[in-house]
Amino acid sequence: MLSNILLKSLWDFRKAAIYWFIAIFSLATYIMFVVSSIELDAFQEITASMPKALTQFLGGTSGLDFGSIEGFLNAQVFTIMAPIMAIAVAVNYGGKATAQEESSKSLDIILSAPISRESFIIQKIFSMIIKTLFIAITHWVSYFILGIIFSQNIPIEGLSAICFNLFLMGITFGMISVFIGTLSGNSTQAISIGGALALIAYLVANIAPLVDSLSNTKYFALFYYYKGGEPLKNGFHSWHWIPFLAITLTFIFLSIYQFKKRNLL
Amino acid sequence: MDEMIIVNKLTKKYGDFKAVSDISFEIQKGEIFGLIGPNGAGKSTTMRTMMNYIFPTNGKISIGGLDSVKDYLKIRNLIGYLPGEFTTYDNMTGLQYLNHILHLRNQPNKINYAKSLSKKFDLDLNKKAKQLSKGNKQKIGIIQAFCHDPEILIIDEPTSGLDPLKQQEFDDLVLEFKNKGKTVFISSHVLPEVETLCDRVAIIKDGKIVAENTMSKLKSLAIHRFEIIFKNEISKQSFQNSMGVENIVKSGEKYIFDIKGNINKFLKEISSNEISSFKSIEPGLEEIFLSLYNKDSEEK
Repeated sequence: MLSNILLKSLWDFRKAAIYWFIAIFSLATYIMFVVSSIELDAFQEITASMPKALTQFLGGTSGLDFGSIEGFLNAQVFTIMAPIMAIAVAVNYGGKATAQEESSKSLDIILSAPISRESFIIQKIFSMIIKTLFIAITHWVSYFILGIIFSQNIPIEGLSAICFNLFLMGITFGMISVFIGTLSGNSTQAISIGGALALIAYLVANIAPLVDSLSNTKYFALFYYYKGGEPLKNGFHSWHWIPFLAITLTFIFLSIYQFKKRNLL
Repeated sequence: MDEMIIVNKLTKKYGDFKAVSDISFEIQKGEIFGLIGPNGAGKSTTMRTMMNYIFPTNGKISIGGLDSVKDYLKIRNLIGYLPGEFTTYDNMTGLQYLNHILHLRNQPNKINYAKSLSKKFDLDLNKKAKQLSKGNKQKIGIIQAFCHDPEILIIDEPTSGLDPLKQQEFDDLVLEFKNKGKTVFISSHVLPEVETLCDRVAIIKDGKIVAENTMSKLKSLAIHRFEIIFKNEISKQSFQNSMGVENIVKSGEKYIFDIKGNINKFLKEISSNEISSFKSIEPGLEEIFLSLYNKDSEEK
């Protein structure tokens, strides 16, 4: 497991992966227990009486829909909890990708071996992508298994679509953090800025639709492309992938360029 | 090719600040070369430029006949490197770390040599780094630099944190390495260590090399100290204007002379007096360093 930088980085993640799996599966179990114990229609009546602005703020552009399992998962899991987890993992490991090794000076020994800076950062980026993918897949597996156990009809295509978007949004913010890390060599700064940008994107996507004059600004927030097409209900919405892929690829290129040309700390 | 390392007019600037300014030196194959100077003088900058971690503003470095910027990957196959601030991974044991580094070097089969070095340094490779003292972590750093049997060693403050016995082990290891015809570039501010190991030394101050020579030549440039007891009472003033006398101290019946430069004229001059005791004290590297360092400051 320790034969290259990617495998070493994944080896470091092994305990965290177990904790993340337990956390996500436990949350999913709790949610599925609740959803199978309540009358969704009654819940829907309560939310229907709420002001539209409030339901949009809480549930995103699609609002709160507790009348179906898709709507319930959308509101309870995939609006806040799942994005927080995916972004936390991506931004944390993205911000640390090069910056932590650089500031702690462990990078000096790694790069004294015949390994190019490009190879180092690419392996670190892959590591961040795989860890974020793990979070997305764990969500998919948890809700797929628990859907069967609790006899809930969760659409597989919808679940796959929202988990895929979760993965894409995570790696996009993760790549922004990788890039900030290559600029400064400061992992705390890279994680903080990446996390703050995610928070701003969330607020813009959820607040903008409440105000007519701001409604078009939602297109600048990545959360819109994550959930705006209601993937849990409608399945894959491929053009919504474009902003994620474009930003991710741009920051991969910029990060490699920046890390290659900069004097290390 | 005898020159394993050639540093040619190297300058490294950060904005207006020159960390290293127009320095040049060469290191021959099989030589141990020391770069000495206080913290912030430019030693680590020079080494990090050699390793291509930072890029030169001007000048060139050639290592093993290869350009340090263009051919840095090939150069890394030749080099064992120990940085001034060695850090390992706290969650790994020494053995896991060395295995990892040797895999990155595509030389996993050298792990047995690494293990034999760990025995020499009395290091338990099965402990995680977070359980190790600073000195033991430094031993891991030393082992990772040596264990793939490189052609060139570039080591920055290598014995930091080591106890005296292990410093001796380290010195023996470096000398064994040199005896195999390999090249060592060592940077340190621990002068006795440099004095013991190095064939040649350069002194760096404010990013400039103020002296560079063999240890014996540098010693000849430094102040020589003589402790002399004369049979008859003589006056201190009679030597005050003698050639090269920098300082005279009278302690009881003993005179202590500090002589700069050529000592022959001084010896001729004092031989006209009857001497009952004569002791020459060889200048240590510390005296040489201070003497040359102060000289450079005075010239400015």
